[in-house]
Amino acid sequence: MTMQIQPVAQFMEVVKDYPRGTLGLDRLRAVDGVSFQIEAGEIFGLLGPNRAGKTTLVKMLLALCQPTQGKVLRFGRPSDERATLKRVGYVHENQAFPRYLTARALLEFYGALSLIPEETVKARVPTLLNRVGLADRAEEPIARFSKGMVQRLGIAQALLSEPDLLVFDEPSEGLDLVGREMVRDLVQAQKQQGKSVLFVSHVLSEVERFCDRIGVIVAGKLVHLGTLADLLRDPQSGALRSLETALQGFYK
Amino acid sequence: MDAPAVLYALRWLIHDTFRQALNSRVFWIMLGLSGLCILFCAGVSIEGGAERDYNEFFDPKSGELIKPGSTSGHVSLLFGVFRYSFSRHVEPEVLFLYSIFASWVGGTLGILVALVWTAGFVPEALQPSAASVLLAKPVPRWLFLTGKYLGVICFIALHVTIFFVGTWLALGFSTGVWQGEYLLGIPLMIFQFAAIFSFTVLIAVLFRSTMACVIGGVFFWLVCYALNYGRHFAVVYNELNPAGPELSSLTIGIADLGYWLLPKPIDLTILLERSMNLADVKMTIESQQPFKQVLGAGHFHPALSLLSSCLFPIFSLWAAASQLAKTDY
Repeated sequence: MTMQIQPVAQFMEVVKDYPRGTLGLDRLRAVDGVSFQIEAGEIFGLLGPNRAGKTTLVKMLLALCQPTQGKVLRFGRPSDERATLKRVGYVHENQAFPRYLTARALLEFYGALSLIPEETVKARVPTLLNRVGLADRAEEPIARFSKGMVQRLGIAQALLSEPDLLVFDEPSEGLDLVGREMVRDLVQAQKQQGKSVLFVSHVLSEVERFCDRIGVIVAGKLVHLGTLADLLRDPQSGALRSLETALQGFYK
Repeated sequence: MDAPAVLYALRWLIHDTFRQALNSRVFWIMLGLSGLCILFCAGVSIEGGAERDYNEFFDPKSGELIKPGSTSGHVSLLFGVFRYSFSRHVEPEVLFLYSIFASWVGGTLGILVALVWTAGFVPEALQPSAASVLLAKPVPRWLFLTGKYLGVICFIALHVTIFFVGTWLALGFSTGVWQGEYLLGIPLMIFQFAAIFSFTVLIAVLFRSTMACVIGGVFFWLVCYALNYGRHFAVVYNELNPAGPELSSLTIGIADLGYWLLPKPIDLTILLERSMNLADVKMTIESQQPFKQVLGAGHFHPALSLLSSCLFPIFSLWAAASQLAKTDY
């Protein structure tokens, strides 16, 4: 008997409309009939131009907004069942953490909201701060942190629950070279542990480096879904092309 | 989520909101204002004063009423900067000061200051940049909102306690008159703030704007105050003005409905004044018309007033949590 491994995320014919206009009667379609899934242990890259609908997909996965039509499942359960969020870590592109907290206090607070037992949080915090290079700034208020340090702290809070799915929304924003290397190591470590990553990024080199499969979304529609090798092969000539060239065809 | 998990997350949310408040200038401003009131009370001193017998108000020789200005003691304010005389016992003079602090400084000005200065706490926490990561945690949104609400209430409870205990101790030590019932102002003022602030939370969820919360909170307090006054006025209007035009039963009914649905700031102050036994004290709310008439005619029901005031924050928080649950981030 074989045990079926559940996909960590499933988008099924998902549509998302946002109300627009003074009375909210007009609609803006941000996501239009998107279907794909992220398998356990997979590093999945989501690419697309600005305002393509990438972040809306991420938000639906994290129950930050609900689909207008279709279904979003997280670990096989509907996305509005919040219990499975405990298995997800989220790194937001522009994190605004409470400036009055220290790095340690923030991790303890976020750990509590992730419903991780207090003793476990206290034990994990020093390790995580060390991992993101903030061990020496643990007791410093976040108000004194640079953008890169805030981003590192954001990564640490996402790792608190030792998540089965790590969602990176533009993780390299504000990070220096060392920070980007740290992200790379994290993604690889996650993969080695058989865990998944959803990677949303504009930095094509990162996507090329990490991702097993890539979804390209343009104007709310999924225009490509496949491996990186599929995307880099020109469908007409069969010749290899750069990721930038491949994407230009979709973006036009 | 099971109960221990709810309590665990709630404790941290309250703790964080409290920490946020302690680190803001709001804490120091409110502490400063309480400090000024306590200093004022410490600067009160009383000389003389005696309970006069009825006959003492008449000249023993002529039998005429003693001329005004015949004093039995002096009250000094601000460490002797201002002085005024009184012609009776010390206690009513001190109770007058207690009533001013309970009804007007704490119960009216204090509530308004607290509403204005805490208005930003919830909308700031609900800004997408601040809330996106938090709302992607397994803690439900209603719990997040409840934690923020209770955190602000705890913060205000600390300040109300500092204000009431501080002014009580200062007045007690400086005058020798201890009015223990004055401390009932602590739960009553916390309750009043909690009822009005629940509306601020609803505004915060709807608009995510500090300015909207300041205006909405203060306006709502004024509406509650006006309806509370209006209802008491309406129910005794026809008794107070038997010769004037009658107030229609529809008007009285509308005022009554609004009164029972909304929080009742004046009723809470009356409750405090009644528990403090301020019958001989001037300028209390209960001594003014139409409240005197309402109390006399039995139109005031303290238990029902308190109970119905409890229902509003429950409804308001439920509406806010329902709205937040369907808000897209």
